[in-house]
Amino acid sequence: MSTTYEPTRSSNRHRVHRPMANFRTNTASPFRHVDLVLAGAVVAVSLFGALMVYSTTRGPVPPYESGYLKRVLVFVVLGTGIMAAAALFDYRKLKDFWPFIYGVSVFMLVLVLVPGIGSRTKGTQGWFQLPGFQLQPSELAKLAMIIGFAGLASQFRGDLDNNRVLMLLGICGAPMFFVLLQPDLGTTLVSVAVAFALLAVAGVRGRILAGLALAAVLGTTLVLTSGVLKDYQVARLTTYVRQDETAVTKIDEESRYNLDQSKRAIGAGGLTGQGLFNGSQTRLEIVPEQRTDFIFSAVGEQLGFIGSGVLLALMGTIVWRVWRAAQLARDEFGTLLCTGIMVMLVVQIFENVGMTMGIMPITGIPLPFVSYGGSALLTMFLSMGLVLSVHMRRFS
Amino acid sequence: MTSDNTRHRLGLLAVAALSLFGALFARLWFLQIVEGATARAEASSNTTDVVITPGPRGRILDRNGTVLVDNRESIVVGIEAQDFAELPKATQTSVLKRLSSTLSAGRPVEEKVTVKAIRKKLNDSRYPKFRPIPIAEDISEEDQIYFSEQASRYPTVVVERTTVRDYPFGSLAAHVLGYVGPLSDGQWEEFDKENDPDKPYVQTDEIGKAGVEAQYESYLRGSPGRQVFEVDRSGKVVREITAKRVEPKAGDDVYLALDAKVQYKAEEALQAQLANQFEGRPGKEAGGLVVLDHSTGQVRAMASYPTYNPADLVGGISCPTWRDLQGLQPEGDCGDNIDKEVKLLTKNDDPPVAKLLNRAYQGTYQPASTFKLASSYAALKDGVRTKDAVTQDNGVIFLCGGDRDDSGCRKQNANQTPHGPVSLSPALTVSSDIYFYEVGRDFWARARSGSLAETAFQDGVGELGYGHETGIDLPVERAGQMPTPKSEMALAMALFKQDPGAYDNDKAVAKQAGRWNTGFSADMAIGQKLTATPLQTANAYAALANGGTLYRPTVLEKITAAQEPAKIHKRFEKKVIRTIDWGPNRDALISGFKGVVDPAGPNPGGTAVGTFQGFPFGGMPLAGKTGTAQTGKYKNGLARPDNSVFVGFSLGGPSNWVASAFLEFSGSGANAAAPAVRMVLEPIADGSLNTFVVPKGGEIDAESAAEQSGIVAGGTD
Repeated sequence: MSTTYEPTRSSNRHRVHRPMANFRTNTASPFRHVDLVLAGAVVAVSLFGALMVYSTTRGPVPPYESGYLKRVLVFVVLGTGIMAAAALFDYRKLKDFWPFIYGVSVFMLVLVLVPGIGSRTKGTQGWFQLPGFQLQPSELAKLAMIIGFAGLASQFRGDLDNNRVLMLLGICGAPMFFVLLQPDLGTTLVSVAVAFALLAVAGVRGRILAGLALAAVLGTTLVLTSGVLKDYQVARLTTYVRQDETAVTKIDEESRYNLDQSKRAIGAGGLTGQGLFNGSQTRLEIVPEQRTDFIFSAVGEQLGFIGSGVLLALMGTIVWRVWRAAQLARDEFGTLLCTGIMVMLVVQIFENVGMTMGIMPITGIPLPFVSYGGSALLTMFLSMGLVLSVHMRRFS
Repeated sequence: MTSDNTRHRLGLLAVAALSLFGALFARLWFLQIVEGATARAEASSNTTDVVITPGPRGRILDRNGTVLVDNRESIVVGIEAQDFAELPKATQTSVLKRLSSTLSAGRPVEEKVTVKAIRKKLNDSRYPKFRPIPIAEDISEEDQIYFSEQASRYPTVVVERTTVRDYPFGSLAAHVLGYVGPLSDGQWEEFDKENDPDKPYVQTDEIGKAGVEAQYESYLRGSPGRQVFEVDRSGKVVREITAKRVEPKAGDDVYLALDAKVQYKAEEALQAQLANQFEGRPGKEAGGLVVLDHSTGQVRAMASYPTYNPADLVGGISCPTWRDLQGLQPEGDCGDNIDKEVKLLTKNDDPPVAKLLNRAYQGTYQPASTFKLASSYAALKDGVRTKDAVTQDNGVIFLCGGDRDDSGCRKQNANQTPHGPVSLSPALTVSSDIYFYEVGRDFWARARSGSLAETAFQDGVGELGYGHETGIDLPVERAGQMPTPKSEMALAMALFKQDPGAYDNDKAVAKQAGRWNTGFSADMAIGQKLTATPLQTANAYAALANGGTLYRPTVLEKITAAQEPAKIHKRFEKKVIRTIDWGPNRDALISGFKGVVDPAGPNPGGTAVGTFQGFPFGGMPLAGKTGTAQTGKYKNGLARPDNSVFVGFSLGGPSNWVASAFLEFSGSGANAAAPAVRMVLEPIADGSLNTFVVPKGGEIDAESAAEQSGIVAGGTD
C-alpha cells in the first residue's frame, strides 16, 4: 500500500504531521505569515552595528583589536537564535505566564540593588557581574513590564474603571521605582513613555491621560531637583539646554565635552562621510563612550548623511513593521505587546540619536541593535521574536 | 479584533513616531549639510599627544630583605622647550646664562653646566615635546627654593622631583646588581620596532644595562603612566582626555639569593688578600670569588675586583668615568679609539683591568690543580684509573720516553717535589702533578689506539660543566676554553692565515704546531691548557659536595609585586643540569680534598693545611683544593707571577657552602685564594656572621681586614 502525505478525510492512519511542508496549502499556518521584512531589517541593522563597534574599537594602527567585534558577533548570532525561538513560541501562552515573568523581573531589580550582589558602574547600581558577562536586569525589565501590562490589560477586556487603571499604573510603577533607585534615569524615562502609550492604546480615557502626563512632568522636575541623582547625572541631563553658555562646573565641562565632540564628529561626516575607518574623531578615540552610547557619532562621521540616513531608515522600517504587527494582531494582548515594544524602540532611538546631536538630554540609553552591550541587544532580539510570533499567528 | 478606538490611537502613535524620526532627519541635515564644513575644519585640527611618565623601577633586595638598590628623589631642573622657543632671542640668552651660573656654582669643573651644553640638550630631538627637557639633576633643596622664589627671572624653567636609583651599600655587589642607563640608539631602534605593549619604551627611558638590572629588566621596569592631551592646530593643549589617563606603577621587587653579609665578607676577603699580595709590588689587582649553596645552586655571594659604584653611573656615564671603567687613564678619547688603545696596552704587557667585568662568571682563567676533580672524574668514568691504582711520583716525568729536556716532554711537580707512590686520594691531597700528567698521557694514548674517543677526556670533564656555560641568570656568561684536537688545528690554521711568517710561510710547520700531542693532554689534566670561570669551578665542586647533582646556578630568590599585597610573580626553582654518578669513588675524592685543608684527614701533606690552621672545623667540616696557575712570561722574558686559585666546600652541617676564588698574579693557591676563602667561611663556621652588621655605605678597608684576619698563608700549590 502506497503512502500518501495528503491529508485524507477517510483515513487518518497515514497522516504525517509536517507543519513546514503543509504550510503552503494551509492558509492558517503561522509559517505562511513570517514577517521576513522585519527579520531581515533586524539582522541588517545588527550587522551594521557590529561594523560600527569594530570601527570604534579596532584602534588607530595595526594590529587591530577585534575582541569587541567578536563579542558583538557572538551576541548577534545568539540573539538571532533567541529571536527565532521566541517567534516559534506561541505568544498567547504568555497570557498565563506573565505574572511569573513579571515577578522574576521585579525580584531581579530588587536583588541588583543589594550591595555585593549587584555591582556599581559609574554611579549606577545596575549590573550583575557574571563570569564573562554583565547582566543588566533593567533592560529585561522594560520588556517584562510590557508583557505584564499586556497580560493584565487583556484580562480586563477593555472595561477600565478607575481601580483597574490604578492596577495598570501599579504594574508599570513597580519596576520604574526600583530602576530609579539605581539610579538609571534614562531607562525610567523610556518606561514612562512606554507606559503612557500602553495606557492610551489600552483605552484609558483622554482626561485621565492628560492628568498622568502632567504628573509625569512634575515627577521629572522633582527627580531633577531632589538629589536622587548625582551631580554629574543632572549635569549630563541638562547640558543640552545650555549648549552655548559657559560651563559651570568641572562635571558640566566634562559632559559638555562629550556633546561637543559628538556633534563635531557627526558634522564632520557631511553628506558622504569621511569613509569607513577614516573618521579622525573616531580614530583618535576622542568621543567618549563611543562604542556604547555615542555610537551614532561614529556612524555620522564615517558614513555621513547618507549612511546615517540609511541606518535611520532601516530602524524606521523595523518600527513600521512592529506597528503593523500591533495593528494586525488578532487579540488585544498581541496589540499591546507590539505597541509597548514599538514605543520602547522609538523612544530609545530618538533619545539616543537625539542626544548625540544635542537635541535630547544625555542619558545612558543604548541605540537598539547598534550600541555595544549584550543585555540590551538580547532583549531587543527577544522583543522582535515576540513581535514575529504575534504577526505570524494573526490568523491561527 | 482591534477596535476602532485602538486603531485610532495606534494611528496617533504612528504620527508621533513619524514626527520624531522627522526631527532626527532634520537635525542630521542641519549638522551635516548646513554646518558640516565648520565641523570638518574643527575635527581635522583635532589631534592628540601622549605624555609618558616613567613608573619607578622595582627595588633589588637580598634574600633576607636587606635593600641593595632603592630609589630616591632627585630634584631636576628642566626647560619647557616649546615656551622657551617663543621667548625673544635676548631673553633666551640671558636665561641660559643665569641658569648656567646658578647651576655651576659649587660644582667641580667637569660637572659645570655650560650654556653650550644646555643648548645642545634643547636641540636634542630625542626628548618628548610636552615634557620639560632636563638640564641638571640632583640640585640642592636651597637651589630649588631659589628657583621658585626667583621664578620671574627664570621664565620657562621648571623644577621637578623625579626618582633615581640609590645604592645604600655603595659598591656592594655592584657586579651582580649591574646599573641602569639611557637606552642606546641601537637599543632604541630595536625596541621601537617591537615595543612592549604593557610597558612601552620611549627613547629617553632608562634601562638595565648589566647584571640583575638587565637580566630582570622586564620585572624591574615600572609601568609608565600615560596622559593623553587633545591639542589644537597650533599645538596648544586644549584639554586632557582623562578617560585615557593611566597612572604610573612601580616595577616588581627582586629578591636575590645573595646574603648581604656573606657578600660583604666575600668582597672584603677578595680585596684584603689582593691588597696583601700587591703590597709594595707593581701590578694591577684583579680577581673573582663566588659562594654557592651547593644544595640548591643559589649564589650566596659573588665578588669581583676591581669594582665600581653604580651610583656614579646614574643619569649617564661621562667620558672620563667610562675610560676609568675600562681600566684606562681618565684623560683621553672615548669612542672607537678605545679599542685600539686597549690593544696597544695589551701588546705592551700592560693590559687594562676593566672594572665592569664580573670576574666570578665572566673572567676565564686556568683552573690549575682545582681541575683535578674533573680529571679524576673522567679517568674513573672511562676506566683510565681506579681509585686505588698507584702512581710512582718522582717529581719529574718524561712523557716522550727517554730523558730529553725538550719542551712538552719533560714535566715536573711544583719545585720538583717527589711525593712517592700515590693513589687517587693522596694525589689530590698533596696535589701530585705527576699522577695527573700520566692520566692525561694515558687518555691520549687510548684515544690514539682507538679504545677511547678522541675527545673522551673533554667529554668527561664537560659533564661537570667545564667548557659549557652554567646558565646562570646573569647576562653574557663566558664558558671558558676547552681545546680539542680539532679546535687546536683550526686555531693553528687561522693563525697561519693571519701571519704566515710566524710559521716560516710553511703550512706544514703550522700543521705540525697544531697537531695534538701527549703534552697537550697532560697539561689539560692538571688544568693548564684550558680556562674556566670561578663559577664553573664552584659548581663542579658543588656537584661533588651535594652527592651528585649539577645545578644551574641562580642569583634569584623571588620576585614580588612592589605594592601590598606583595604577590609573588616568580619564585626560585632548582634547575638540574644533570646528575653525576660518583659511585663508590666519592669517598676517596672527599677524603683527598679533606686532607688538603684538615690535618685530621687521612693523608698527610695537605697543600693548604697551614693556611687553615685554627679553622673551626667543628663548626664547619671543610674540604678544598688549591691551584697555582702558571701565566707564562712577560715580553722581557721574566716569568709572570702565578694566579692563585682555591675552592672550598663544607661537608654536611646545617648549611651547604662552596666557595671558589681566583686571584690574578697572587702566587700559589694556598697563598692568597685559600686565605680569601677562609675569610669568607670562618665567620659562618664560628657563628660570628650572625651578629655581623654590614657597615652603611659598604666601605671596605682591605689592608686592615687582611691584618685582622691573622691568617698565616703558605703552601706550594
